[in-house]
Amino acid sequence: MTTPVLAIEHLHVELPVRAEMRTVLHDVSLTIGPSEALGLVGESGSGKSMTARSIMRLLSPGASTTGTILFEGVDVLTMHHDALLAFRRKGVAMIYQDPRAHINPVRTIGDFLTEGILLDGSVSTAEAQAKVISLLDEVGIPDAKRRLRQYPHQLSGGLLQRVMIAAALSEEPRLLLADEPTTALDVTTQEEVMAILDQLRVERSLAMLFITHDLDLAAAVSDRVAAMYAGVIIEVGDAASLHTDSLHPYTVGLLDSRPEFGARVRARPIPGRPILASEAPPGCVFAERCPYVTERCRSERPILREVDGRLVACHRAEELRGTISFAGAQEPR
Amino acid sequence: MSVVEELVLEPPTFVQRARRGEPLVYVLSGILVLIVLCALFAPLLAPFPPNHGNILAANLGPSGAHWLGTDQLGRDILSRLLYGARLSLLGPTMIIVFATTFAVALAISSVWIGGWFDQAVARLLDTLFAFPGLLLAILAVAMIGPGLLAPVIALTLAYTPYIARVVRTVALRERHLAYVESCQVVGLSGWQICFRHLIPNVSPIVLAQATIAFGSALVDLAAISYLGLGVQPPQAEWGLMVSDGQSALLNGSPWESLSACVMIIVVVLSVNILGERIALRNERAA
Repeated sequence: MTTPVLAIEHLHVELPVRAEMRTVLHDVSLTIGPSEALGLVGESGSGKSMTARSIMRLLSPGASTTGTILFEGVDVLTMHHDALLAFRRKGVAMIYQDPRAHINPVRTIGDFLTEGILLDGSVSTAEAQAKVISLLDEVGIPDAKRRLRQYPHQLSGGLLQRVMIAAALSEEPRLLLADEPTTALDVTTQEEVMAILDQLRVERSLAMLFITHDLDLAAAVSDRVAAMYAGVIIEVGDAASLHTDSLHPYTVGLLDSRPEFGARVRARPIPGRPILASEAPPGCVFAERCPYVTERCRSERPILREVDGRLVACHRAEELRGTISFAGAQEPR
Repeated sequence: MSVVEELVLEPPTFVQRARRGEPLVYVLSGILVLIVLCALFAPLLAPFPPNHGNILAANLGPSGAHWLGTDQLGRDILSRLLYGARLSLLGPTMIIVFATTFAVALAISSVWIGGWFDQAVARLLDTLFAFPGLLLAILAVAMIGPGLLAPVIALTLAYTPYIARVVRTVALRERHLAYVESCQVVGLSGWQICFRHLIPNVSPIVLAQATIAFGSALVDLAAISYLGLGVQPPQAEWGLMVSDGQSALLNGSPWESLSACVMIIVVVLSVNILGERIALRNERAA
C-alpha cells in the first residue's frame, strides 16, 4: 500500500473561547490517497472548515491539538518553522469560499498570482508571468495579459474564483484543500468553476479534500465522501454508494432533507437542531436527534468501524441497514 | 448580434489623478515645495550671509536692500529666514521620519505577534502618551545639552505613540482579513506578509498621520527654540527668530518676529490641511 498523501489520525482540537477551552473536533481520522478526492460534508459548524484549517495549521494561537496530521508521512502539527513554510508553499494549496476576501485588494491579479512562484527566487519575473498566463488560459480566463494588470475589484466572483484556482495550482501542490469553493458563486458559474476545478485536478492527478454542504456535488466530484457531525466523522464511504447505501442515520437524514425537483415528496428535515462539538454528550453525538437511539447510544460513543467496505460510527449500523427513515420522527421536546 | 465592447478599467494615470484633485491641494503642495526649495538653495537665494551683521543698520524696516528689514544686530531678516528654513524643516522631518519608522515597526510587530507582546506594547504606548512632548524635551536638553539633537530625540519619543496607536488599530483590522491568511497558506513568512502586504495596506493612514504630526512637531520644535532650549544663536531658526525679535518688537520693529511667525503659520497650516485631505481621501476610499 502506498503512503496516503494525507492521513489524519485521532485529531482532537480545542479552541479558547473566553478563557475556556471548547472542543471543536473530536477524534477525527481521515485518509486521502494519491490523486484521490475526498468529499467532506456536514452542516454549518460541524467542523469541516476547522479540519482544513488544522491541516494548514491556521488555528488561532492558544488552540490545543492532539493526534497527528501526516502529510506524506510527516506530521504537520510538529513541523518546525521552515518545514511548515515549505509545506505550505509546495505541498498543499487552498481554495476558499470567498475569493474576494482572500486576495489583497490593493495588489494586481498579476502580483497575487506570481507572488508564490517568485518566492524561492529560482524563477525570473518573466518566466513567472508566462507560467501564470498559461494557467489563466487553463482555467478559462481569456485575455490573461490584461487581467494580470487588473485589480480584484475589477473581476467578477466567478473570474476571481478561477484566479484562485490558478493560484492554487501554480505551485504544483500534491494536495488541494477546497473549502466550499463554489458556495459564494451563482448556480451557473458554480457549475463552470466546478468543472474546471475537477478537470484540472484529474489532469494533474492531485489529491483533494473537498469541503461542501452539497451532498450531490460532493458525490459527483469525489471518490469517497465523509460525513461530519458535531466535530465527529460519522461515516465514510465511496461516493457512488452514498445515495443508495448510507449506513448512518444522520447521513440518511441529510439525504432526505434535500428538496427534490419534480418529486411530490416534501423534503424531510432532521428534527432538532445541530449541536456544537462542544455540546457533544458522552455517547453518540447524534443521539439527541436519532429516532433509533438506544441506551447504549447515550452512554457509549460509537467509534468509526468498518461495515461492508464502508466506515460508520453507529452501534446499530448492520441492524438498521436499509430501513432508516425520518418519516415518523417527532420534534424532540 | 452586436459585439459589445468590453469596458476596460485601467488604473488612472498620474495626470488624470492630478486633474481630478482639488486645486487647493495643489496650491498648498506648491507652497511647501517652494519653501523646501528655498531652504535647499538658501545660499544662492539669500542676498546676504545670514550671520553678517551691521550694528549701525539695526532694526531697519523693509527697504530695497533689505526686503524684510534687519534685526537688532543689523542682520538681513530675509536671508536669515531662508537659512532658518533649513533647520526649521530639518528638525520636524527628522522627528517624523524616526517616529514613523518606530511607530510602524512597533505597531506591525505587536499586531503580528499578538498576545502578551501586543498588550505590553499597547501599555507602553499609553504610558508614553501621558508625557507631554515639551516636558520630555526639557528633560532631554537637561541631559544632553541644548541644540537640535536633544529636542529631536525627545519629540521622536513623544510622537511615536501618537502615530503607533492609529497604525496599530488599522493594522489589527487588516491583519485579521482573509487575504493575510491566504498569504500564510501560500507559504509567505511573517516578514514577507508584513512588508509586502500589511505595511503597504496601512501606508495611507501612516501618511496622513505623519503629515498632521509634522505640523505639530514643527510648532513644538519652534516652541523649544523660543524657550532657548533648542538651536542656539547665532544660528538661524524660525522659533529662535521669534524670540530674538521680541525686544525689537517692543521697540517698534516687528519684522523679525512677524516674518518668522508667518512662515511657521504658513507651513503648519499647509501641512495640516494636506494631512486632513489625505485622511479624508482614505475615509472615502474605505
